[in-house]
Amino acid sequence: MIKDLAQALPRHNKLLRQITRLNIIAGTPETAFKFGPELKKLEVVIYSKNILAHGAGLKKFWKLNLPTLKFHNDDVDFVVTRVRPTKREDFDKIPLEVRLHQENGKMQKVDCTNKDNESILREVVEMMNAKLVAEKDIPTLYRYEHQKPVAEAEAEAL
Amino acid sequence: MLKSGFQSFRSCYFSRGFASSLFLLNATGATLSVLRASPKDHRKDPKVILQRVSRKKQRAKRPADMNPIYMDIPLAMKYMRAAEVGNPAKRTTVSVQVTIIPEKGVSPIQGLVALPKPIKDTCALVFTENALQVEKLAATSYSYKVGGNDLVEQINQGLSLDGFSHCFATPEALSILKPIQRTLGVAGLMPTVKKGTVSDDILSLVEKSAGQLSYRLKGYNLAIPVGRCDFTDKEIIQNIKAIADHVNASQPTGNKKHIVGRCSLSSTNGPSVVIDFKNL
Repeated sequence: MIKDLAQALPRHNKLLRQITRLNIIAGTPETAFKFGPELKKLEVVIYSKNILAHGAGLKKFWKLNLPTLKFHNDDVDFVVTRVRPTKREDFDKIPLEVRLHQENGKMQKVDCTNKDNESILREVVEMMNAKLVAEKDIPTLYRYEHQKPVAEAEAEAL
Repeated sequence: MLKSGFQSFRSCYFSRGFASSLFLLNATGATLSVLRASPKDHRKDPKVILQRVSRKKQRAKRPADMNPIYMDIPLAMKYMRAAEVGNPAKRTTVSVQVTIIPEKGVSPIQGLVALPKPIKDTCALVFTENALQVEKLAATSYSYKVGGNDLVEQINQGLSLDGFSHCFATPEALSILKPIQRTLGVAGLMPTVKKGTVSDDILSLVEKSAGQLSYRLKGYNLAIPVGRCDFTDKEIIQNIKAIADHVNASQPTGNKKHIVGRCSLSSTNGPSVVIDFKNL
């Protein structure tokens, strides 16, 4: 699981950097999930500024996991609502949550206070009964031809 | 000279242990400092510049699908939308960067291209007291604000010019613009005969400016915005095709043509992918 995006990207080669970015977005067989038709919209409510530590996991979920979910669920509306409180006392009132809006009008919430991005992803997936995307459906880019798996190379040649 | 130079170097070395400068003596005994060749001088060498251009030309002639990050536009837009998830639509500009190696002695590629799906809504500011021109404009669906002395007064009193992308005037209305000349000039909106924004036929000027985007080749790169992440795949493809047709139309007549090389598509915070610019 990628902990920090900036550390995962190679710095010495521009092409390799882009390939790594594209492969991170496409995800892996452990992080790529497909939602069912019942999910209409996924809303993330987060602070506008990164002040408090108990929202850090939700921010990581937005930056690392949400792109992969969006890539494999193009028809679902992904929205991030950034809340800016005017007074210091109002910080505790802001909900740090993921709201799952369904087709039948119902809304389910996942509380994300003091949670890391992996547990938030696990809860969202379990709540919506999402299925893992098969490895053959996850596009992976390679820098050289010989790095491609044999079956993929043969399919391309045909 | 060498011996005396070595001796003076040796004495310098032993007398001051921290000295690291090397110096030689010329025929008169005066010291000469030895300068190291700077790495920047190598880049300015004409031979090196020619080699670099010929390498660029070879790379530009390679087909797009040979690149490891080549993909078709719908898949590329899927990656862009995923990378820009959660960001407001206005901040997610998708743009293309085309490598073009121009032919020698030809003026740089530049112009105005009308995108089928405009990125920014254009709104024109029109200064005229001609009732016929106002009537013609009223019959159209273009976004504009028209007026004469009253509009000049409004701008003097603080009307914001933020939402206006173009400004036109009829020749007789130019004289009334003197009080707001400085205001319009700073915003880049002052109508002038040289720019082509002063004419008796205001309607044609407004029609031409609607949805137009200016572009110019800088060095070997042409970067143009083609849309946003909330555009559909079809709209993005239509915009890119309009730009490709414009670039092909600006090729010089004759045998020698500009070399159109690699085309990359990227968004504000997204990755960059290679797309086929020539065969859309």
